[in-house]
Amino acid sequence: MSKRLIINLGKGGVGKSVISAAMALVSARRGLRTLLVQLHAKDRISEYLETNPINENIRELQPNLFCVNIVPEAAMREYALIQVKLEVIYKVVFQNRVVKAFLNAVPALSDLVMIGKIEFHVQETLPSGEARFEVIIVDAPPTGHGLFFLSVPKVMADADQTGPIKTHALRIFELLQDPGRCAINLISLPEEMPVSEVIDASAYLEKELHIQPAMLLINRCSPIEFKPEDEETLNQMLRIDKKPRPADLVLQAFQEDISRTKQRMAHAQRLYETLALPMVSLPDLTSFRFSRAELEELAEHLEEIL
Amino acid sequence: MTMISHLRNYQVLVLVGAGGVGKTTLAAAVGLSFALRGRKVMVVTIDPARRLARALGLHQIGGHPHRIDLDELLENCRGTFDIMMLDSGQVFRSLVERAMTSEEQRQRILNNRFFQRFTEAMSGTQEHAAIEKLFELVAGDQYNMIILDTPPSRHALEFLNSPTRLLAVLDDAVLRWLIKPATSGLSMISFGSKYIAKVLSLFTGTEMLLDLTEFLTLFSDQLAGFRERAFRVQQLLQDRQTGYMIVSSPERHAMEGALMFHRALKKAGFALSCLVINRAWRVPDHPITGDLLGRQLKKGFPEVKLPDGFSSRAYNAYMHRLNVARIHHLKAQQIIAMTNLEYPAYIVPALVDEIVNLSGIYEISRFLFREQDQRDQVLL
Repeated sequence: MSKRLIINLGKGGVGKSVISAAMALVSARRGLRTLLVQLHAKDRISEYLETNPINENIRELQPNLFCVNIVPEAAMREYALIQVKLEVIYKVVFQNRVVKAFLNAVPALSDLVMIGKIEFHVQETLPSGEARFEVIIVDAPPTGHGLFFLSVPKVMADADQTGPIKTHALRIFELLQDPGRCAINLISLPEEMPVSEVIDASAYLEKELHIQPAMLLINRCSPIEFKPEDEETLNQMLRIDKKPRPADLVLQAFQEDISRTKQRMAHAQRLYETLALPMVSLPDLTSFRFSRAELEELAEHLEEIL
Repeated sequence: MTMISHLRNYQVLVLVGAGGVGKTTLAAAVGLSFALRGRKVMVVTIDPARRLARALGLHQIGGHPHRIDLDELLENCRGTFDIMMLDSGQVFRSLVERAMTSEEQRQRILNNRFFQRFTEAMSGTQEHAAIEKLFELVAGDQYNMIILDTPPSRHALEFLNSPTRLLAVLDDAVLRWLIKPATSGLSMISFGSKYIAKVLSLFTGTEMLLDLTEFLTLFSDQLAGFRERAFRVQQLLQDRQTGYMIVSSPERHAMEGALMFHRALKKAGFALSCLVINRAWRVPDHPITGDLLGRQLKKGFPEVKLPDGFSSRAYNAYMHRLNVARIHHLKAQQIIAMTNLEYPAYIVPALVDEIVNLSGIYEISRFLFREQDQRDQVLL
């Protein structure tokens, strides 16, 4: 948590938003001014935190915990205003139908202005000279788009064209590459697809962007407890023809769950061995409706680890 | 009615849903079911899990159909089961190559930076490629059941609009007014918009404008052809014999995705065929206490020596399983109710073991032949 910028990356559905929100809670409670960023996402975080919807305006939800949902249109306006300085010119030029059509057709521009806004908040200072946000936590888009998002600054910086975009892109890329300021965490479940995706993502980050991921978080690790000798006992018991009900149902379920748990442990193991990064396991909090209570439980876990 | 009898009137099935819900496995199981019923089946998949790919013999390079031998499951089966992995790069390149009339044009478009970034920005062009491939297969007339597994889309509409998306950029009259394809340099920008272009180039750099101009110039002659093709693809997608299966798991992100697809497909007037809640945990629900279990284990298995704490570990595991199964059941009911009961809904239980061969797929297929429409089960 000592980094300024923390980016949480992983496959859709692995729990990136929940983990990002829990991290932000921990950070804010340690007295650090923390900004939790969603990127043009369906706002889930306000529901977990049980607060009003979060929009493109930064809002302090509780002491030290600030939230924002960055949307491309608003970010584009802010970015353009930095370039052209005058609101009048912005209105004449950028609200022109023609120009809007053009900007929509320029691929990756919306991603660049969103990551540009994040970089702006990393640099931003208060009148006192202190950083406005001491920690910024980003709930990144799902892996495929997330990696594209992170590579946009490099693509733009590499392009053999000049102009303010290139200069800015280079600055963002340097920030992402600086392990002293930025940490990219990989989030997975102990399942085949998310694990494979994280392994591929890590390779892409290192080879294409020369970024070393900081940490692995394995979400929803099994709460099933078993001892190695339980398996043999179960085998003996299940071989017996006449079993009392409902004990037979329980034994059957226990055996299946051990088998499932072992498969999940093997996936986590594969991830750990392939990437050799610091790894953290988080509990499975399956519930009918994920709410503040579950979020607090997760935050407690992270509090001990981070 | 079971899922397989319900779906038998479709010629094309498109599976949509969030990532990680088991669409590919389900596509394979639906395909296998129809092949065993005598249909000529093709399953087009996008990015299968490695083990599943191996189970289906898909470890070779993509882009070519692979026939799966059904002898081990059914002797003298009249149906056939082909499966292929989509190579989106290949599909898109061939589309562009067809459109360009000369080699020089082809090279120019493939080297155009705007085109390169444009294709990247179309989420790897998988949506587009998948639909192009589908169109090709239907036109080819070799199969009477084509099942398309779609990539997990960020936005449902990206997928549904993909036939017209390239067209939209090419055909944007507004854009054409800004950049009149003609000569080189900034002079191609029409007089009225010179000031705007100047400010814009301050913002993006002039090269971006030049790249866009070249891109539009190269495609300008092809517009009619693209429009015709996009129209026909759109017709296929809206055909009554093209059915859409919404696949969800009993988890929140998947349910949100399912609901989004439900709304988008309905709005677009596509034929929604069914909802599948995949990977739901099940367990026989029987009242039991820790004490009762302890007594039964001692009495019922006198010859087995129980490790310390075995009974309570088994009990906790069962209770956890029961709890998750109940939550999954409730969530399944919830999503079924949210889709207004307008089309059948099926629940496919989670298998304990990961699928490593054809028998695993067959095991799921057996559920598809057996599980009944769940709409009656929803409490209103």
